[in-house]
Amino acid sequence: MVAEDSSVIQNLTKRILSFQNYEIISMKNGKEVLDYLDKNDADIILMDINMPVMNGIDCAKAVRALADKTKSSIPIIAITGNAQNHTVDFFHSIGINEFLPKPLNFDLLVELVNKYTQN
Amino acid sequence: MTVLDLTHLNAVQKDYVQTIKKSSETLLTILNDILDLSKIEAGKMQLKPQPIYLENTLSKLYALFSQQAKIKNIEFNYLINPDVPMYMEADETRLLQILSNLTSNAIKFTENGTVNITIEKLRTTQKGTNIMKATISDTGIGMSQDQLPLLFNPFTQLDNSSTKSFSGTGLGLVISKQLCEMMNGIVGVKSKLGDGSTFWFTFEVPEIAPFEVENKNTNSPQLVVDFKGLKVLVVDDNLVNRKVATEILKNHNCQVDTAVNGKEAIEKITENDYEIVLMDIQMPIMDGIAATIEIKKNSTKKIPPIIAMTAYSMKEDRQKYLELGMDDYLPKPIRVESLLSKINEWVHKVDGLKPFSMIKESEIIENEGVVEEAVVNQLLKYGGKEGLLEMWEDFDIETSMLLKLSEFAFAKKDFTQLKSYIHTIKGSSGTLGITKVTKVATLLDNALQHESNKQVSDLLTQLHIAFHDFLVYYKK
Repeated sequence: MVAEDSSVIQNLTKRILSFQNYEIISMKNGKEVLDYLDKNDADIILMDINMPVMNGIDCAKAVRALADKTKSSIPIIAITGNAQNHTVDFFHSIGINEFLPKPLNFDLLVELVNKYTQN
Repeated sequence: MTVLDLTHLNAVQKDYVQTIKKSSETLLTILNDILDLSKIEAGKMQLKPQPIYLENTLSKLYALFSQQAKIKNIEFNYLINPDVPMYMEADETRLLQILSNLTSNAIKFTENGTVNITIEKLRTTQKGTNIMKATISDTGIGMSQDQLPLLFNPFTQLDNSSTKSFSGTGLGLVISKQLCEMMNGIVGVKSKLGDGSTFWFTFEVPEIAPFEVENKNTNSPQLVVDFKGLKVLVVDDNLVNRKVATEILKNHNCQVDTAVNGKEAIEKITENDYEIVLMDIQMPIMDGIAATIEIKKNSTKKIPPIIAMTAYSMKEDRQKYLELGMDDYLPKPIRVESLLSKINEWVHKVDGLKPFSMIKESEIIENEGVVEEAVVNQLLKYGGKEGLLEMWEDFDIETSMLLKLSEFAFAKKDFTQLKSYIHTIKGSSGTLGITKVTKVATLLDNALQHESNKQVSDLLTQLHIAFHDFLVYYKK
């Protein structure tokens, strides 16, 4: 799942990951992510931090608090333009597994997604 | 100014020179236009509509008045509504003339306030043209109701006492009104004494398809070429011409000597080995033609090619100089590009050297500055050429929208919203390797931390320009 309000980054990740045979579901904000997870599932979430309606941090916290154990443990990779605003420890403390800074490095993106979807 | 611009200037100085250049260009045009008032009145004035990119026109206006506004501590902004078609056919000079008149008035009668210019589209006519409206509003001294009808009369300034505190001929509004009528538009004003004035005018323009806009903000294209110590003699009695030619040549690694007349030129050529001589025609003591004949007749050593420099630009003149023994001809005023390509031509004509690569600096900036090749290659790897173009198209669509939203957020002083838009632009341009846009967006992001109006407004303009450069690049 790609949660990102910029359609540029949205389409870009979609294109890159589809190329690696991933199936992509696109969400525009944190609330859409939660609504979707209510009835469906995902193997990994790429989560932009700056999103309208519900930002990535609140959304990550909410995902981790879900009752369904499988859903609450979906790996989350944060995408952020201002990594310096948050520490790695902070991301880990709210349950974000890794973070990718913008501008995105495509190889790293593919590598991380592969790593967390291996099992 | 051309010479000043060629010296090594820091960014701030460069910016000042650019501003002076732009301002003087525009002012000169306007001055000429004012002289044309009689023409309008005699019904002899004709508009010369040409394709324009509205953003460029407004940024010229901005450059012309931003210094003045700054001095008077006026916040000066312009806003083009999102639904305005940017590409249109209009007489830019005349449009700028009206806008300048109204803007200069607004600034003249405002102190420590705001001057805002907005452009909007009112409607599309049945023949498909657009009726546009420009509004210039200020928070200045304003006018009372009974003063308003007098405004558009020739030579009327409201304060007619001998101690009047504002300069001006009082012609500006009359000219504006008449020019506006020629554009099928009308002029209007709303004002309250002590509470600012709002002038507006409408004009009718056909919308046209987007075209590549020559970026007037950059210097005229400069040639990057290294002449590797080529020895050149510049002969001209005019100090400015000598200086211009010398600076240009030195910047491209020529060793330059100068002489002020034909006699001095002959002495120098006898003593030194020059590879090229640039020779003015009209000079005191001994003119260029006499000197050339003398040099070619008497010299025992290898004679360098002599290139005539002159303002006489008739074809027959050119032929005449060649017949009199000059090797080539270069028209005045001296232009960087023509001078360098002429020299380059002769360098390999004489020595059979391979031509230096003549690359336009503007092309380098376009190619190297707009996008980052490494990222483009990465994108090609994942998406191929088709994918790359699609991603750029996405960026085009999204960023166009975000820029418009940003302008609105800025006009409403909603910095939080503005910041989030700029963030998105910064992130996506960075990821797609659209370097120039990323750079400006990053600067803007920083400026937003300090919420400095002036800086934010300048950088927003620059962001538009950077984005526009990208569009030009990608549509190619």
